Amino acid sequence: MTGQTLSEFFSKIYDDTYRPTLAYVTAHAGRFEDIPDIMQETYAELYRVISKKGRDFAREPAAFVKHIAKTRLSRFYKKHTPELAIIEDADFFEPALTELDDSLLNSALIDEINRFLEQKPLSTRKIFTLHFYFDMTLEEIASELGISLSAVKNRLYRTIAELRRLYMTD
Amino acid sequence: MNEKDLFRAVSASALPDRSEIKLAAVSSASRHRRIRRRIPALAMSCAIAIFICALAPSLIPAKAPSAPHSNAISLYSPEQYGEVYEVLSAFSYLDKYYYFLDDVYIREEAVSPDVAPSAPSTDTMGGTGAADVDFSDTNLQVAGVQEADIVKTDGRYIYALKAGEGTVTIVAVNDGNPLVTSVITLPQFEDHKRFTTDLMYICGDRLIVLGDLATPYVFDNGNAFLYGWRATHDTMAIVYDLSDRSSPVLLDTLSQSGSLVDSRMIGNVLYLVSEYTVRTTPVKEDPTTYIPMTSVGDECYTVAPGDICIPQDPARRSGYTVVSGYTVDEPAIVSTKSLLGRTGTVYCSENNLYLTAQTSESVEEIVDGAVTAYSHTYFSDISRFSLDNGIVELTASARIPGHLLNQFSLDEYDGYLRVVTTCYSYGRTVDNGGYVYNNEQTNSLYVLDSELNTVGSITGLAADERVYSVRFMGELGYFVTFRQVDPLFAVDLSDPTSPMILSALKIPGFSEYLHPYADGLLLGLGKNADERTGRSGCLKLSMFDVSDPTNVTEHSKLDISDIYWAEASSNHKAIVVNSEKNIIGFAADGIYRIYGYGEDGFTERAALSLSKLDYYGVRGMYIGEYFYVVSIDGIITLSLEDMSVVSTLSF
Repeated sequence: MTGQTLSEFFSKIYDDTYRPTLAYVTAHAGRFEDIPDIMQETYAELYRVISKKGRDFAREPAAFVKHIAKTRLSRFYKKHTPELAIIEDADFFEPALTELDDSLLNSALIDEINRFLEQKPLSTRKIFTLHFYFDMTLEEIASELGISLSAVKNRLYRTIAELRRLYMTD
Repeated sequence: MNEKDLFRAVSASALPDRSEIKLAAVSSASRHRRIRRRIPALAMSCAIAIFICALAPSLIPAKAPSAPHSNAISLYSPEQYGEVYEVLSAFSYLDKYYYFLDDVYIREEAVSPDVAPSAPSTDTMGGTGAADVDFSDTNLQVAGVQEADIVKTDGRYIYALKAGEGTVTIVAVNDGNPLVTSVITLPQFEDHKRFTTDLMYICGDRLIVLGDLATPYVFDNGNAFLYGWRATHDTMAIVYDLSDRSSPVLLDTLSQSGSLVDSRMIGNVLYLVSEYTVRTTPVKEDPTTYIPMTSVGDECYTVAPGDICIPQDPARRSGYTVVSGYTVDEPAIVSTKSLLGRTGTVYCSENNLYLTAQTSESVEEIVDGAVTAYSHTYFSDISRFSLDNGIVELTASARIPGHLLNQFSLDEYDGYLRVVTTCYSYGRTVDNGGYVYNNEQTNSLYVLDSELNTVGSITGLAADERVYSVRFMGELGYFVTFRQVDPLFAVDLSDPTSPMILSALKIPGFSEYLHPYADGLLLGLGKNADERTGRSGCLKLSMFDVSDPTNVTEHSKLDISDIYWAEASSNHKAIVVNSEKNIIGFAADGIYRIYGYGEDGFTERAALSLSKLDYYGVRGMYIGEYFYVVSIDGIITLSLEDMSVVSTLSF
């Protein structure tokens, strides 16, 4: 495979698999700060495999990339994919997402909220990101993280309630 | 703007850049192959080196940081404000977080005039609050060192802060038949400022409400933006005179730059700790634009250069920590010190205030301009301030390995500071042209002397676990670590230079809060867990027999089925414990629960349903012969004798 062909082919596989792979790594990373390293290692490994084996590197590219990511996660933390250790199972009201009173969205507010989320447990940040960025349903998140649906709801809605209290207008 | 879009943008900003990952992956893959071809001749020596490294506790032993005997952090005070400005500029701190906001909104909001506290008097029992009955104080870590809370009592009155409404309801206990005496409405502030609060103190005839005053940034065109980096935050204490409980009077306000981190009261002296980030464009010639300030009412004071401490380590120089002492009888500032650097956990003894900040050190190995091997280790910086009737002095500063769980991770005893930390490090090395990743987590106990130098330690405990709870009791210390089972460690601290593990009780689950119950008994509130997977389950009460610290046993336990979280698990002020009155009380899942403990173990004495699903701010307290459960809906009064409901009061 020529250099240009390799690059083009790799780019296609990268574009097709990036989002689900990132969702998987986000769900199973031990820290948010590790995500870039793990993603880089995953796709570096993919690049090496494609360089050696060409276009027929795998029957199911998406599954293969996920397999690499899983292996990289395991090696990164030197153990099996970590499970969340805390389950909270309690009834909680489900607040409807609302229109904000103000229409401003800017990097200052985003940074502020990010700083708030960085103080939260890792599982809370994962739930928040998997739901709002990757559009995963709460049931999917519960399944991916290996915790109960009520625990996902509890964490997510409590975080939303706190964010509204701190940063949203009345 | 849809809230969901905002949250999506927040999530996206925390994730890596897609194109950068791609470039880095391709570059790494290409470089990796070159390394393989270039260094096969060195493979044998690397293997030997790595074998040797594997025997050492760290990945890069020549550079890996280890616990020094002397932990001192060097600090100095500037002589002029300009020196502080230069330090901040050198760190590029001043231009790190500024954004040019093109579009701002105008928030139309009615500006309310300052409202003096007032309320219809429904009771004639206004007066001093000194009580001659036995009553429960806020659950304090250190006797004599008061901690702020959302509900307080002085034995004659109950004070309930409703944060959402901005009111404080003063209720006369009235011997089991509580009556509302008055309601304080906290003042409103002009110019779009917002005051938020959920903490207060009672000290004699003084009520002190603590909170955050957010001031919006006003652009040249008059538009105001309350949220985000441009808004400034001050910690404010509003002091009321309660000489007449039926008619409280606002005395004055005390404030200092930055958001409230924590506070304590010793006697009639209030100590506030805040974290201040410079958020306006600083002007070197105007210190008020980048130096912390304190104020009493409208009188403002800039912290003097000699009261600012700057660490030599530039990595710490982001933001200020401000520590001040105030008197509240006649509201005034006694002293202020400011340390350049952030803070987290606060611990206070009767004589000293300890601030801790998590930090880290990285060591990197670079080959051909790329990082190949690295190690990253976490530490905690501890700063000690002496306290003397409001006079605050920074007396020592040091760094120890690991991070702290909470305030109970520290304890001062007989001139020594005992600290329990979880030590975490991660990194990677190169092995035969490939990467080897490693991360280590253990737990340690350190004993520090008056200079915060390590005189005794136990390290490397409970690998891959972290600390879940700590309690020091004189010459003994207890702490819990957990991953799949819960070792409750008992430590002999009678010799500060030689702390010794006496026992390690392994049981399923873990305790998140430990409380001395009675002589020889230690109460634990936590969760049970699956022994095989380590997955935590429902809430659990444990009573440990610590009469023989070398043979600690779990004397009794109670699984609270279907309840998985209680505020008391993470906030010690949310639980009331008294062995003489046979009370262990806390709220969980909309029910206030009171347990007793006897020969047959735990028994449920009361379970009160609360009308709303309160997760935070429900408090229980005993006064005289009654037990009062205070929530945002009102007060339920129980007889201490049989826990029957005597009265209810809504407010």
